[in-house]
Amino acid sequence: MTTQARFMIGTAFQVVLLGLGIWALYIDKVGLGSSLIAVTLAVFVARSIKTRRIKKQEDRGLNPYDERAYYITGKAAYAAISTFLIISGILVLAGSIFGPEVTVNPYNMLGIVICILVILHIGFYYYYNSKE
Amino acid sequence: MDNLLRELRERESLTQEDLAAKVGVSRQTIISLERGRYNPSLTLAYKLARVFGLRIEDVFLLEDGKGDE
Repeated sequence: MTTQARFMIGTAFQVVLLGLGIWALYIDKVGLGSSLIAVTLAVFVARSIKTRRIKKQEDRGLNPYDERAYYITGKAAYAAISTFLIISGILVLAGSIFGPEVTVNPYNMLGIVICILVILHIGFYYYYNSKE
Repeated sequence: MDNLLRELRERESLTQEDLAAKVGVSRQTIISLERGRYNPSLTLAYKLARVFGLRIEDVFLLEDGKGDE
């Protein structure tokens, strides 16, 4: 997949998220709507800068998505999911035995899980990128 | 795995970016290869050897007990 195609697919997804944000504002879910719009716009700016940088490299004949990038991404993904499974497993066990009973919003919980996985993946990617 | 990439590249007066463009990888990959931190795939090793007109074993040196990680 070309950088341009990847950018277009990501942008289409972001337009949907932006629409959801506006819809959330419309139905008076101000917190969700404003944060969705802010994050979507911030991600759009970051992706635009990154795509421009990658395009410049590709124009010089370089390939930023080469075998090493995929190798590091794979290692980071494995490390992220392993770390997450170990920590969440310990928390679930310890919480079930010693912790209080807590009721959580499943959508919030899913959002937190996604954030943790993304942060772990980015952290491990930078770690392996500097190590390999 | 050790290699002679840096020596060969400098002998040919190529920059890291030139070499990266010739074999279709990023400059970071060439840096990692030269430092011996990353072992290339067979395809990339062939491409690199071809740039210098050599065989793979003339560019990459596998010592006993190394390169298994």
